[in-house]
Amino acid sequence: MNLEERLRDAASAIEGMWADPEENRLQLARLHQRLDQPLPQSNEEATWLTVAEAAAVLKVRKMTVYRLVHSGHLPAVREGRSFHVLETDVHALTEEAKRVEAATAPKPAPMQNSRQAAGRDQRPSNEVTFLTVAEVAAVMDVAKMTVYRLVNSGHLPAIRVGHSFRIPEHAVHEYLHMLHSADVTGGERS
Amino acid sequence: MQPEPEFDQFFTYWRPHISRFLVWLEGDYAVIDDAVQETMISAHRYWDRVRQLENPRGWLCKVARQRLGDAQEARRRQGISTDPYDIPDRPPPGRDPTAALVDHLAVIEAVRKLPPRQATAIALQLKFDAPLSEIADIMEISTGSVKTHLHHARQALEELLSEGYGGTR
Repeated sequence: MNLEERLRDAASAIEGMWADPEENRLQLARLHQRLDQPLPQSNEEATWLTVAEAAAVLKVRKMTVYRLVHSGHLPAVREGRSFHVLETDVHALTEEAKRVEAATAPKPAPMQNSRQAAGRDQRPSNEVTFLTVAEVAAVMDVAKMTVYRLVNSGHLPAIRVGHSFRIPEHAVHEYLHMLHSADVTGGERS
Repeated sequence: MQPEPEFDQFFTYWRPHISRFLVWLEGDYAVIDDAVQETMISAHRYWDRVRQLENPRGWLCKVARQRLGDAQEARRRQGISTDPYDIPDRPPPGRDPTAALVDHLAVIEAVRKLPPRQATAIALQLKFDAPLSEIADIMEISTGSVKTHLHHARQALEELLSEGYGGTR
């Protein structure tokens, strides 16, 4: 059998997949469920942001906002030649990013964190501030490269926005505290 | 939400087709399902425009490709590798009745191992028999590049598939 025949054979075998109408119906129901959820944003006093404003809120470049709009991640309306996005949608995007971060962040060391975690929970979640890599580097007084290394090694939880990282401020402080306490106990041991 | 029979029909018709396109590119069915769902969410969001398309295939493939990338990225972040090289090999087929099936799998997996653009080009051709111009439009490259990708894809597949069934990489 030559290659072309084998490719066609495989293609026609694939045509037999996803043919179950019942499964199709289930997926359609799942889709409608999702479409029904984010509706309650239809209040009249919705705030519209320009792309520049949204970029400032998200701490990304305007180009990234355009990319998010074009890829459909950020719903937008067109007015003439410019886009406007809903403030709630921008916040939803950061919430989503935070949820991803929460799901993927390495589990914090159990000991010292219960109190901090409780304190954090009382704060409304939209108060979490995100820092850029440069800002974290400034806070920790290290090179940006060090921050990237910490992010990549999992010591600092980070979310990805476009090609850059954003790091929750509290995570930086927790990390520094952890280093500090490790230092203290290490000192006692030796 | 008011019923939208037209959209439901659209979904029912296109979901299998888009899935069958993406299966050439991704082995994890959950990722494919996610990508197709996201594609359909976008279709719903832009329904006014999508419904007017004469042939929504190109639009759907274009969006589905992006959404597949997103879904793969999300899966990667959760620490589950979607790297085709990490998917365990199927056993080489004997001369039993399932040999044809296993050969299909070997072919599909070989396609998944191709560089993404080669895989996409050949998947579009195999799934939809799409003309070069349409593939070029979906991938946002020139028809010349499509030809190049298809040619390289066939060369690589020839090599991947010749060295024993489902065999060495």
